Amino acid sequence: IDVLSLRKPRSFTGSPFRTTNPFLDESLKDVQPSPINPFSSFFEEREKRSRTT
Amino acid sequence: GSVGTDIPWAVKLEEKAKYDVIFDSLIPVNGFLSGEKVKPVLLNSKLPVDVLGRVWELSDIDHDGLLDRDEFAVAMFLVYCALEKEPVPMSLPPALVPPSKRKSFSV
Repeated sequence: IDVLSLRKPRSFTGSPFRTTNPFLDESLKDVQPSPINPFSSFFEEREKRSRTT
Repeated sequence: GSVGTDIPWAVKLEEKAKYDVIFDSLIPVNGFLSGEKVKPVLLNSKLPVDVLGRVWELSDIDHDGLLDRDEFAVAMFLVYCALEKEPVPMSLPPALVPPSKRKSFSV
């Protein structure tokens, strides 16, 4: 397997490949924050911890 | 391969159940979630994009740009690890490979 070709950004159009990693493209600024936040309880927990110490 | 199928999955049953609820709430299509659906959820972790990119690389085991139930659980597991300040591994540890993927998985 050609590892180097996997790392190349596939920016040309009409490609049969698509960028499988959604975090590699530049459209991050268009992403609307999700109302689903499984980490909110994690952050609350951490906040609580930092407040008590 | 040398990856034993007898290693218990690093994602615990009760964690998996939790991740399954999140998975279902994102309305998977044919049992898969697209990157566009997963991305905003992972961004809520406030982790740097390069860390989340690595999480995606590792959890999208078959590199089809979609996450199934098990792959999503791996992604969530890795994000929680990163939140606990544990470095995200460069390659997926055998224990993290979902049992359903182990037959086709080779290092």
